[in-house]
Amino acid sequence: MVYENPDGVMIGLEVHVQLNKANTKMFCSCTSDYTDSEANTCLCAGCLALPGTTPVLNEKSVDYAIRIGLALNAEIENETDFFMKSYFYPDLGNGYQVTQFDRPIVKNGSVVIEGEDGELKVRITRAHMEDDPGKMAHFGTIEKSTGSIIDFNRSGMPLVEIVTAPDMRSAKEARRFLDKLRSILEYLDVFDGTREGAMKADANISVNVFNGKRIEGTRVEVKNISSHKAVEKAINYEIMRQKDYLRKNKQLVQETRHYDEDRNVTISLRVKETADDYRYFPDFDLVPMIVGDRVEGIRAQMPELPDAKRERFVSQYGISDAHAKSLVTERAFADLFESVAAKVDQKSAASWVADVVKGELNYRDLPITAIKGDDIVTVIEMVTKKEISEESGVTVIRTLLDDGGKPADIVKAKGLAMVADDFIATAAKEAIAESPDAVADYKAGTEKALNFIVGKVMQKAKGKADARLAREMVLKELEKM
Amino acid sequence: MTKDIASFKAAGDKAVAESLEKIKKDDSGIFIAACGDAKAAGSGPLSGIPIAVSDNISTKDVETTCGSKILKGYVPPFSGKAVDDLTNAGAVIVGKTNMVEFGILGAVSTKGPVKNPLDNTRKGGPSGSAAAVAAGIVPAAVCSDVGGLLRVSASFCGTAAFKPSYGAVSRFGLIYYTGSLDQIGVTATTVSDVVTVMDVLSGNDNRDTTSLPDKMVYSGGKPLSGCKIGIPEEFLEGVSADVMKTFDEAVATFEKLGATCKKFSMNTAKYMQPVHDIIAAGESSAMLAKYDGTRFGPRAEADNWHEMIAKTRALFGPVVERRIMLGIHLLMAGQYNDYYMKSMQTRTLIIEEFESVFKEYDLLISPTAKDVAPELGGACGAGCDQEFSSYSTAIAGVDLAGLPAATVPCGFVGKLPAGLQIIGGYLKDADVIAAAEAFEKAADVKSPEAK
Repeated sequence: MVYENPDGVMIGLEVHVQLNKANTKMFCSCTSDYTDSEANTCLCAGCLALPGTTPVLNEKSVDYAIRIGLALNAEIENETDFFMKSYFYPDLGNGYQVTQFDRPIVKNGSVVIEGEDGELKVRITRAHMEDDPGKMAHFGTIEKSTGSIIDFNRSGMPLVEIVTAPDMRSAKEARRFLDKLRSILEYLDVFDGTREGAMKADANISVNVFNGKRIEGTRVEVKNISSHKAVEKAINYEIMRQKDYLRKNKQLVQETRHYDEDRNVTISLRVKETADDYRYFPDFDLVPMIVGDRVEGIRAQMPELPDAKRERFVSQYGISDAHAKSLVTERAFADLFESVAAKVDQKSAASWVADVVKGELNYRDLPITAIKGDDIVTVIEMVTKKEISEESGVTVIRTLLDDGGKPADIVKAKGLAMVADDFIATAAKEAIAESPDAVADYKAGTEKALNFIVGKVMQKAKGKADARLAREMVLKELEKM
Repeated sequence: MTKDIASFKAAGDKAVAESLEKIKKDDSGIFIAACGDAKAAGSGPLSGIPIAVSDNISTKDVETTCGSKILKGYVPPFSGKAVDDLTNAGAVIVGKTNMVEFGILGAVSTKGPVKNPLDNTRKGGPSGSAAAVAAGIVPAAVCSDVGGLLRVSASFCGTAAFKPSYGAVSRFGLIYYTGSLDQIGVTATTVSDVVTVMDVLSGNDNRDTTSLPDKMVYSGGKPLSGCKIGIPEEFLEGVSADVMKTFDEAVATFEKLGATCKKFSMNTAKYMQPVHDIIAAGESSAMLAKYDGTRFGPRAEADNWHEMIAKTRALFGPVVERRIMLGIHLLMAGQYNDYYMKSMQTRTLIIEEFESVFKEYDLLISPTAKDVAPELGGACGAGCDQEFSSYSTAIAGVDLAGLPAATVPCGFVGKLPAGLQIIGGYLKDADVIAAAEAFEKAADVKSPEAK
């Protein structure tokens, strides 16, 4: 089935990725992890842009940018350099941002996502390095504020800005792109996506079909959207707004809009009559870099990425593609699965980690570190040996997450141990004796009646019986009749 | 009047105190501020020696203004590498010398112009560094040199000065307005004293990525005997007849010392000044953008931050303001390719021509300034010079190619000295120093009053 894209929606993204695992900021030795620090405590004369300070490049941030480029199947520029991009804003200490211009370190890459109608290749136009400004907060709303305060902890953080071609056709595709990108970046270990401001996106959106006819759409930029959920909502809102304008014959203008998450609307920030003139020119404080010679070394150290891992899981462990896909979205889950699969049946490992553990963690909004692989192994082993039922296994996992403890202790405390076979045999006899109608129905050929009798056995065992065994016992007794 | 390092050393403990006393009494606009005390003297090659630094070199806990209202009250929380080096060598920083606002030629310092110690109706140059030495207040002064801020001041005051190859001295803590053209240098009474201080300042600094990997060596340069000296004809254009006479005598001295001097023409010379102007203006528009009142320095009262930034930046003097506006204009998309891009390309051609010239010649010479020190309050009222970013074609060329250059006095016009500029190939600092020392000794230039 081909996706028709009835409104001719075109979406391009500019994603700002903070390399917060680069140890230090981009041009000074301040920490790149200021998450738990008070405002304006992670700074120095350099990232505060005091007069007389000179930038010293954090080489790790360059390596990380190359790593990202390789993961995006892109070309890495051999010689690259920095430019100054000038504009006044109180949170921009130097009055210029150090960024790249016509020789970005990364260009011409792609990311394959699950599109509306199968695989969709999203082209990456470029990815360049730049430094982050400080963070400004306004009293009141952004449109009307009585005062502003600035936190410079973020000032000078290394960023990579990834720019896509306008290849996405729906908000869902944009979100999937971001999910995929985030997954790749986490695999690369270049950033911690859980930290505030780690990933931000600007979306360029245009509607290019109206009344079934192709039109020249108007490109609107929605800036600074911080969560993936918000991206989807902001884009959907913006598509709706543009369609509404077209329907009412209102003039759409090329502009920058801000997404207000609380109200779920986009608000006009400024109308672009002409392109902003940022007066780009080469940064004379930083000499051009030759990076081509580092590429092969970095390539050799590249981790296995989600798509490759997914294929390997299917072929190596014989698990379903759906399980493999679910397991690889986060590197930690994939690792957890592999550690469990090394000790127990691999298909059981996949199903327990992907279906049970992941679901229970998500439900509780807990990180993967909340559970130990060895505990999962123990639970699976108990179920396999029929020491506990599958239902009880899930109970053990839930209890581990809620209250902690050891699986064996939980089984004991909750009395989850499977009842003995002769108990089930007795229960089967009793259940048959108590259900003459069902027995008659079964004998007359109504298969469903069997379930009723097995259900009764399970009730008697208070769920601590293996359902398959109970069924076998009931059948055996029925045959004797 | 001048005193060398040895005589300050001989004064012992009193040297710093006497120097400070003179700075506090300074009414010639040589200094912006006094600082430091005798107790701060450490041990080392400059132990107990008072040294002055220009007010665009950051000094921890001492107000640093670059001669601008926009930095009034700014006290850096750190010192520049040059200051740390001097202090570690035992020197005491006794004062911040005056300078035209941010070192931009033609601009006016908050402290007004520097009066020349040799003739107080005349200027002491765009910085007070050479005047501080000429007045005998300090034996040496450290000053950034862009456009001739240091060299021209030395020429006007009759001191020796040296600006090394680009990268020899860390710019960390130097508040430059045009980073690719600026370099820290030294002025003193003799070339030998200049070298003593240069030696302390040189060396790699990992805080400045343009810093050279190895420490520059200033000794062991080529002797003048057999030396081939070139004189670019364009470097002589506009030089006054009086200064030209001192220059001709200098040429004769070099030949007496066994060097051959030959005039020739440089194809790129006519582009040196305009390219210097365009690059300096462009870089200044970015370098001076941080002065917005947000994080340091004075802040104007306003209703919103747009106005706050605009009003604060009105504290720049008019010449600086014009330079920034010019830079902004030249970097805008409509002009960039025609001016800035062309200037960068031409700069490469200038560097290449210097490279080929230095295959033929060991050194180049020129007058340091076209004339002797001008009168105070000359042509444009408040004491401004013409609004170029450098004093001459020769100085512009040296800055653009990052070459080492010395200036030594080569004669007097009345009681005012004239300077000779000796230029070497990139990293040929030792050759420049050797020639300057040999010339200084042979010429033995003395003021008419001293004779």
